[in-house]
Amino acid sequence: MSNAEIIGQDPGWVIALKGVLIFAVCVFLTIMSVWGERRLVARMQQRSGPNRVGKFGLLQALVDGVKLALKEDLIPKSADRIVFVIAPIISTTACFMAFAVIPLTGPVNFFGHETVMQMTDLSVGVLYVLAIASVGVYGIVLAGWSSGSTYPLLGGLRSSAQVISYEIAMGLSLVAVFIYAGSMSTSEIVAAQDQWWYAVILFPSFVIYAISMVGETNRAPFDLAEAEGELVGGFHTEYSSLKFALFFLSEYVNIIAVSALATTLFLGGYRALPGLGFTEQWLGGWFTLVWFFIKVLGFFFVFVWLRGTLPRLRYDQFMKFGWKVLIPFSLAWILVVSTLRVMSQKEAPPALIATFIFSIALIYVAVATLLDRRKVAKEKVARNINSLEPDFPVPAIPNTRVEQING
Amino acid sequence: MINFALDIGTTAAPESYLFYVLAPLSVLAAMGMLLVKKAVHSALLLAWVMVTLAIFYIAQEALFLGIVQIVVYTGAVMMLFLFILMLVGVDTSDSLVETIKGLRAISIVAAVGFGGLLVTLISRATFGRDVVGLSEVNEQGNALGIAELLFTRYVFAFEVISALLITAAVGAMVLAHSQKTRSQFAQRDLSIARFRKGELKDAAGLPSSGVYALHNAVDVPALLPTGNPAPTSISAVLEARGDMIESTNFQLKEEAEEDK
Amino acid sequence: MDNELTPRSDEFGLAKADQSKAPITNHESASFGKQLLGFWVTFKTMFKKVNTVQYPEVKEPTAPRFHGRHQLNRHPDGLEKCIGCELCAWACPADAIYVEGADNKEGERFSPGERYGKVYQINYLRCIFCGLCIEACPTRALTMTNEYELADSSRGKLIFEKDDLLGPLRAGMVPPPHPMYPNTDDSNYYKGEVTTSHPSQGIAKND
Repeated sequence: MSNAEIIGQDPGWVIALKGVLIFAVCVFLTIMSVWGERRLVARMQQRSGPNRVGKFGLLQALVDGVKLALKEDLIPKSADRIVFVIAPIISTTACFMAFAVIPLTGPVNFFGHETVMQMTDLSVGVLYVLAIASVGVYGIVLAGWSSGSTYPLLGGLRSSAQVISYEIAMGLSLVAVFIYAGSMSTSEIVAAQDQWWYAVILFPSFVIYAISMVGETNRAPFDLAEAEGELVGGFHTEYSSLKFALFFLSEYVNIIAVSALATTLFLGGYRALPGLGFTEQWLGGWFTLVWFFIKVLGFFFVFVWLRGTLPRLRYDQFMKFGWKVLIPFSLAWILVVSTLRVMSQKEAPPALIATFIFSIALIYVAVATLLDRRKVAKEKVARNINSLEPDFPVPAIPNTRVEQING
Repeated sequence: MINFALDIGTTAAPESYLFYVLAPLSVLAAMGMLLVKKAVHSALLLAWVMVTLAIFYIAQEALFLGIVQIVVYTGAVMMLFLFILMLVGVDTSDSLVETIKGLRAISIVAAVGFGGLLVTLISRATFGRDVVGLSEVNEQGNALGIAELLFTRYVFAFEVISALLITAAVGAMVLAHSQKTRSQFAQRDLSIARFRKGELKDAAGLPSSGVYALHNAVDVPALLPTGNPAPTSISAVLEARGDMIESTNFQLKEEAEEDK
Repeated sequence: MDNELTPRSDEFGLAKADQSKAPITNHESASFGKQLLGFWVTFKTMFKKVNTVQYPEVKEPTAPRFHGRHQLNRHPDGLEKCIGCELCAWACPADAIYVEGADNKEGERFSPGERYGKVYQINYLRCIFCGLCIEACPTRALTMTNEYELADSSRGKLIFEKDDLLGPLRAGMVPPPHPMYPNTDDSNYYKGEVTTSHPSQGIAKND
């Protein structure tokens, strides 16, 4: 029985209870992930992080939330009041909605009722997540615009341009998954990964998705929309109190949401690690939830790790990377994948497949070499220009040797 | 005998509730879109109309169409539209003067023509055709059914439309792009220019504002070592707004008396 | 390094320095593999001992010459060292010190010599702890302690009065006002010849 059929048999109270549970888990996970991120980043910087409120500072995020709620709620004079209030609501609602199609467990016994922890199983579930993400951008753009000041507007524009461009790369990276799974439904994609994870078979797609999900969530090193050094707070500069808390919440829910999607599409979702398949039956199937969260938290750790390690990109570099590297590369990869897929479906001889792979590798090496040569030549020219001394007095750069001395 | 799609079977109760709640909202939003003053508000209302339409599609089991409606129209098209509105800053002060002669007549003709086209298209699709039924159409799944039609029967129309859109996009880029005749001054060039001016007086930039120990606000000019205020230390923006404090207030007393 | 401050050309009329030993700066970006090493650095750091001091519970001593809260010192007999000269106030770049001097009355003096500081205020909302006031003080009346816990809840509380700043009376000191040590003048005080109080000055404080 497919997930869609199992969910179709759910009585009303199961659906309602599942909705509440998934929402609660999301909020809990978000609150804990705020704490987890602060602790982890602190350790990466040899600090200890929040450790005052509760054991190990576990209640820190909760207390921060209460503090935010008690703050004065300001609406700037020049703001567009209606849109200013709607924006954080759109942002938060949208990111929660993505969880509706993610299967958190395999078949489980839910208070005596056989079901799966998934709200609904759409046949175009992954597209639905993309659609919701594109609605979520409205929150950011509108927040930026309605604040009625410059920095939020710039931050809002930046972040929406960013999300739109990286959503293209993200969508393209998913195409290979659709081709291999033969479906766009999340549960069927998970089911199709019972042999090999798509992170292994479709490794390039996985890398592209992993990069673009960081760009999509406005996280370091792609957090240009809220670059403190340039734009104060970006789109939420003018927000305070609960409205700010909503944006804060939505950022972290978003991280968890894209991680959950990555887990579902590339890491086999709620399924156990290879060789540990027997654990899927433990606790009446509920143990799959543990596997799911282990994988999601693994992604979350990578998010934090990136933030702790990499400096922020410049905006033009970031856009160039998205449009000139990720998108062309994923287009080429889709061509390769679909050709291979059709070949194997039509049962082409292995020699032909090998030849195809070999010629693709050859083309890749040739193109890479040519590009590299051009880059080297360009760098040479650039270095020659840079070494020209200006003909006006400038202070010496300490501890450097200069090849050419004036006069 | 004319068969409407709705005559076949009955609408499920939840679906009809959904319709009676969302349809008036959608119509109201569409009317509001025409009536509200701010362009961004009307763009938002349009986005809402798109979302409600998508929900209707989904309710009628056209899943793929509904989702794509959101991705493409709400997500991409409306977002770009919003972008332009925000950047260009279309206000209530839109001029209603015709810039092209006879624009009003042309637009009325175009609107009527487009309406006629829509009516004929929809009636062609509705009247005189037997309704196949959802289960038969979605036999292989909604997405597959659409894909098959798009890439076999309507592949030519599909490709023509995509070519048209790409041409339009490239055309817009060509029109909007202006070749720069010389490279833009960057920070480095500005710095070189400052040093080249001959005098090194201004090479380090303008003095910063604020009077030490008395004030440290940006609307107060710096005092030079001579005791005179330096008006260049205040941002030109504040000056234009008239938000600056008169610099003579901060002149040393003896100097001021000498000036008199 | 021997070439640290040498100009790189003789445009200022200075001799050319030997720069052959200086490292050549490399402006090319590091290879991809090398850039990935950064991830290892942060990962490794996670398992190192943290440097954080759990401040309110654990207090680490400051450096011995840390610039903390000011203190107005006393002579060994309890008289104040401050003579109300206002040099500290004039030296202060942040305009944080306010001093009002007054004449000492014979027999009821606060400091040896002619004048004493009647009002002495330091505004710790302005003070930048640069220590120029300490350098300006001619009698070593004003010094800085290592105390740094100066946060408070109102602006008024952060303007420290003379009572807040004066050093404590130690054993053997007589609380002013009182006369000078018998048969001395102010120069004896400055030379450090007065080392204790005299019974004629008043009742000395015990431990």
